[in-house]
Amino acid sequence: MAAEAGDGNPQPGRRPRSRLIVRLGALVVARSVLVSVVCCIAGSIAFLLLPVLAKNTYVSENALMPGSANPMFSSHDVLEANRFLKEIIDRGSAKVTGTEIAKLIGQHVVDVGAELYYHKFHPHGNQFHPIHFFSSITSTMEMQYNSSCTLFGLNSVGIIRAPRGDGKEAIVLVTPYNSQNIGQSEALSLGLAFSIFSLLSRVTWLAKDIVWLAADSRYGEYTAVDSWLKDYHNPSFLSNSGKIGTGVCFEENILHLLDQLKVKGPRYNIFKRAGTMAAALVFKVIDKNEKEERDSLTIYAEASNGQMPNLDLINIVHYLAVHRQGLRVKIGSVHSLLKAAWLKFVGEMVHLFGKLTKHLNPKWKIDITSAEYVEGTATLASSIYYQALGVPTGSHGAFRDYQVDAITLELSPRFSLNNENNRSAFLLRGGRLIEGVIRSINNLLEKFHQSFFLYFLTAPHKFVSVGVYMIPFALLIAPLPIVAAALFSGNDSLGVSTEKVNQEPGCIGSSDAELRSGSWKWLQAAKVVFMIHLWAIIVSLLPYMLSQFPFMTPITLLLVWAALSICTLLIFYLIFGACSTHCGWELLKSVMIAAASIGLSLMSVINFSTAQIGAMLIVPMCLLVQPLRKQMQAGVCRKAVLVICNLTLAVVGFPPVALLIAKGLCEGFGKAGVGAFWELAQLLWSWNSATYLYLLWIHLPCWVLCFHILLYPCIGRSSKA
Amino acid sequence: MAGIRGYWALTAAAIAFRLLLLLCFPKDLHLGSRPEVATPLTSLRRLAEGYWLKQASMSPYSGSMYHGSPLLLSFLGQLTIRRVEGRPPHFYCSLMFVVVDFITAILIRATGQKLLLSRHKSFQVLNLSKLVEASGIVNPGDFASLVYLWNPLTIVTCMGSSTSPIDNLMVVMAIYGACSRIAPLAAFGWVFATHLSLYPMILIVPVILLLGYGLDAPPSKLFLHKTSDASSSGALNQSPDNSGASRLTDNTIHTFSWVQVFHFVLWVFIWLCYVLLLSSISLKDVGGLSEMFRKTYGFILTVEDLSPNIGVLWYFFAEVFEFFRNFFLIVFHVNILFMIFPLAIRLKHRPCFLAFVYIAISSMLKSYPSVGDSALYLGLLALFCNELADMHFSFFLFCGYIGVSLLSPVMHNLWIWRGTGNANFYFATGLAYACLQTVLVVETTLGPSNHPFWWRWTTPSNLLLPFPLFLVRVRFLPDDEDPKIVEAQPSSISLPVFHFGALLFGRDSLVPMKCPKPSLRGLNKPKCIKCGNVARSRCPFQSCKSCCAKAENPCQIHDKRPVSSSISVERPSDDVFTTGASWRLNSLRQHLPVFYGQRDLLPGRMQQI
Repeated sequence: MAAEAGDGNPQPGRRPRSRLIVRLGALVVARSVLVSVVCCIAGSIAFLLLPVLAKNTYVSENALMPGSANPMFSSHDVLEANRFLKEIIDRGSAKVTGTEIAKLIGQHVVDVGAELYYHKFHPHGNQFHPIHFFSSITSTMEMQYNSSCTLFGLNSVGIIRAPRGDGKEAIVLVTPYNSQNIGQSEALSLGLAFSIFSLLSRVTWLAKDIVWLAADSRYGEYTAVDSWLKDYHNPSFLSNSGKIGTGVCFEENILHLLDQLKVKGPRYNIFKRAGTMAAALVFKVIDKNEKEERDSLTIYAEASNGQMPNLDLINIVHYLAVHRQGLRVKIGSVHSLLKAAWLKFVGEMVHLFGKLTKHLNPKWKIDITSAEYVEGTATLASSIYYQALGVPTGSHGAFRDYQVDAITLELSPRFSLNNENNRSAFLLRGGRLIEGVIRSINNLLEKFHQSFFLYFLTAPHKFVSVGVYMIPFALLIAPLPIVAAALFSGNDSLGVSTEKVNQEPGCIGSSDAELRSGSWKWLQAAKVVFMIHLWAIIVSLLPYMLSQFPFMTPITLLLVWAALSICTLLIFYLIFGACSTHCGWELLKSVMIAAASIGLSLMSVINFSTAQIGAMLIVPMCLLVQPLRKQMQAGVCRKAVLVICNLTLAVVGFPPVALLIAKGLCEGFGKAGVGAFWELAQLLWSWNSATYLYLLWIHLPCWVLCFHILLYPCIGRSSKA
Repeated sequence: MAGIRGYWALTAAAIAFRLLLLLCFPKDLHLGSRPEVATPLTSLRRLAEGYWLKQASMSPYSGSMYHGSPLLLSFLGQLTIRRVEGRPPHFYCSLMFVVVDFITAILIRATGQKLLLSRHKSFQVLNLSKLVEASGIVNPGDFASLVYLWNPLTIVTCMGSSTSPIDNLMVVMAIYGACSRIAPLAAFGWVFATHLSLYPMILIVPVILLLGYGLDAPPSKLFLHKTSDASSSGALNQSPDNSGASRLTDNTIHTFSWVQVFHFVLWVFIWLCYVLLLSSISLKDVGGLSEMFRKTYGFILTVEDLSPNIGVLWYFFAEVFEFFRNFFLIVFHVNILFMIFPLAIRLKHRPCFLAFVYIAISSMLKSYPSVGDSALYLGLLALFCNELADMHFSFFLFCGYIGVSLLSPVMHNLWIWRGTGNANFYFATGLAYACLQTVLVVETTLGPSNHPFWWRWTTPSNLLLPFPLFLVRVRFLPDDEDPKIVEAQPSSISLPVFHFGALLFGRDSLVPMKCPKPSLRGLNKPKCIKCGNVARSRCPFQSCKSCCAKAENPCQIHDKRPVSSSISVERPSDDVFTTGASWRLNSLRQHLPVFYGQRDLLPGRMQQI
């Protein structure tokens, strides 16, 4: 970076032969425009080629051995599932109290011979924690329970102790159901889960405990699963001073509750545990009423902040579903891209290119048809979008916070579920699939660690690993340090000759005298950049205060937020703005680019997809930005192109606009109002998404600085540059 | 010379900021559990554990929890057990660390003022005070203490319940005591710093140099030259100014005050006995001194704890085979000792800077580094802000420090909490950090134009030339600067030294090995057609200045100041820039453009001379 810039211009005569690496660095810095154009184009092309470069998945962990054993799930279990289903539907239609189904599940679990307890939880609104990302999970223990006692959900949990295990590990099955209003598909998923559970209570090969969590999704699936997990991992002591309120509330209700449940046996309100979780499967049955050839299975895997479960988990599910049960496996894709004409064109080009390379060398296998390419791109786009949003796509996301690999399996039948025969066949397939997956995981000796954690899926059986998708990103941000170094060194040599000009402005006091000498002049620019970033941090904290006022519409909140932000910015300008014009826009741009590249590389570690999307917006904006007045001095054609590019990028790069466009592209432009951004922001921070921090701590200051440079008054040496 | 405006306001703001953090974030900042902040040696949580063990009449070192000094136990132990509701667990300790930080900053400021005074004095001796005024000077003391106080790393260390602020205070105290020639204070600081963290032991070299020679000054050959000039001219003129200066010069360089050093050694002995006595009293019933040595210094030297930190040793010793462990322990520790001797020779005349370099190197190579060490050497670095005004890579280093300090917690989170990364992720940031520190040390010490300007115009362009070479060169340097005589001499002496330098620094060190002549600068310059010496490129007669003057050419370049010793003797003695000074200025004028690339850079006053 600047290291190259420093030695980049060896003074003539002093050191005639500097080192090769220094000379190479100087060469790259001197040709920064060419290098950045080439890098950006190469990065974009490599990004478009990602679906081509995707590899087929493979089961990496040998211990898993998917499909090696014959399934034990038989028609007898299907009958049991059907029986359970009928009972639930009878109860559900008879009385809607919320505890009826829990009671039913409890009775059946006890009859099977497993352990049972009820977990009562209070739904809590997600709170805004900007610092939360770095703190450990244990601090979530101090969550405030301020909701009233009447609002609670009831999870029923059954545990099978493994006959061959030591009770140190467990596999978790989750079936969410709405206890207030249960539909047929939810009842079916409960029935399926129970039949598997009862089968597992009879088998002899279990080496890990099985935990079945029938999650009460009255207040959302995620809340139920998350609060259960929280209690599972953080033992709560009622004597704890912080929890007295909950304890009293709990004691009040528990007697009443147990009266309602009327389950015979020991006390069922004692929380029981079963070792560390090896994996978790969330499964549910959805009746989509779509006519398809085969029963289908949709996999959801994205957890918070773009974390994915180990690829092996998806691999075994896919392998068993496709090769054993004959299901059709789907993952989410962006539908608008599937019909896009330009993508088809690109696909054709890629296809032609593949043919061409095959002529050149038959070993190169860039063999992809246009349709495959389009489908792969649409799936990849959805994968990137949901990772970038940082919001989990289902209740499996709660597990990832505790380093447990989990996925959601959504089974949907081919025909309507009312037909008994179809239902039985469907249940048989689903049951065998889940049994096979559990049997595979049961074989695990260690945690999932063999396969990838960092990957994108372009199809259920194709993935792009981190080593491949980092290349476009690296190419995209490589120009940033180079251009920063070029600007910096250019300014260095310039500053020496114009030092006397620079001495006149009164901004530099005696205290900053050392800033006059060339090497430390960037401190002025760094001060400006630092101030803008400080402002951005303040702006990001404002919603926390605003959300204390509960009775405001999103639009009002958004307007207040914007007004406050602009006010603070103006105050910052009034206080510190006087110095900002003396450092020259090249230096300012150089420091801004350095800050942006640090931010982007940081974000690429935290959440790669956000960094990738952000880089596609920020990098051209940063590289192209120039003061408008300077652009006016160029030729007409160049001027027009530059101004249009700059203005477009300045509009598109504005964080709310960028966020809305990304959302619109992936989910369709529905009701796009002014308040939509507030709701979106609320969604992000309520899920502790690092994307929110990225948008406000890195993207927004970068945009403001770009705008600042666009409107920069070109005086003195800046115009000479 | 003016101090920084609003120094006290900024200091108060720094203190207030710390207090604000302490009061506003009672629980959210888990800094004490971060590996970057608290090491096994400095963690306050471990200290509390040790105190508890000691209260229970057990050895505080049992259970391999505590590895610090027993004096800290008695000193801080009481504070660790007091809790305040709604405040961080070690509230009183943190309050004390705020005070400690403040004292450290004040001591740094006093040191900086001493440095500034000595700098002015040596410039006056060299008749270069105008030059000093021409280049704006920041008060290094104010600047450095503000840098220390506002450094985010210092703030994090102060808040992060680690005992490094006390270690830092002791080190700064030793340096301050040596700078102001208070032998007891210097000895106290040195003994306690060594007792607390062992590595400051190597600071004995700069402390003795400071006490013996005094503060940082230009290298002694300048004064030697000045003396010889002054004596040659002063013999004729008897100017009181010159003779006074030469007397001052003699005082400044030639005396190595053994009395001070003897005082220092005596006091070191006294304080050492005192510390050992206190420790043995404190550990009388529980363990004893031998266990203390084993569990503190032994723990530091054998790198027993391999929990991750920002250094590079933990990863290495986690990987290395048990057979080779002892060998590599020796290698890693000798690494630090290896640097001491050559650096001491090289930077003999700048002991304060030497102390900074030692601290930076030891904080890079020590077994349990933390950001507190970086906070200390970054604060000391700011003492030399005037000398480092032209430092290369400053922007790169700044970005690097910011990037690494942000990336390190993220990588740790990825490894420990998310489980998607592994140890290599975190170690990569440690490596990057070590590289940054290396670049910092190399650039401040050896970088081409980073030296104070007396280096620039007295040394040849290649700055890796070690010190003895200059000594030889200066001894043979005649007044009219004839490089021929010089070049014949020193190559045989310098060759082994170059090997040493190449081993040590490996940076461009092959260049002098091939051509170990000191006068590389003449090679690509126009030669004088008469004598073959270096000539000014713009001289129309292609002569060096002495030939030009002898031939009495109507030269625009050399006629301005036709300097030769024979003429200058006849000049009036009240002119400040005669003889020696004029020689220096001429060579300055010759070499400065080389370094700056452009002649216009010379300060206006210099050009009028």
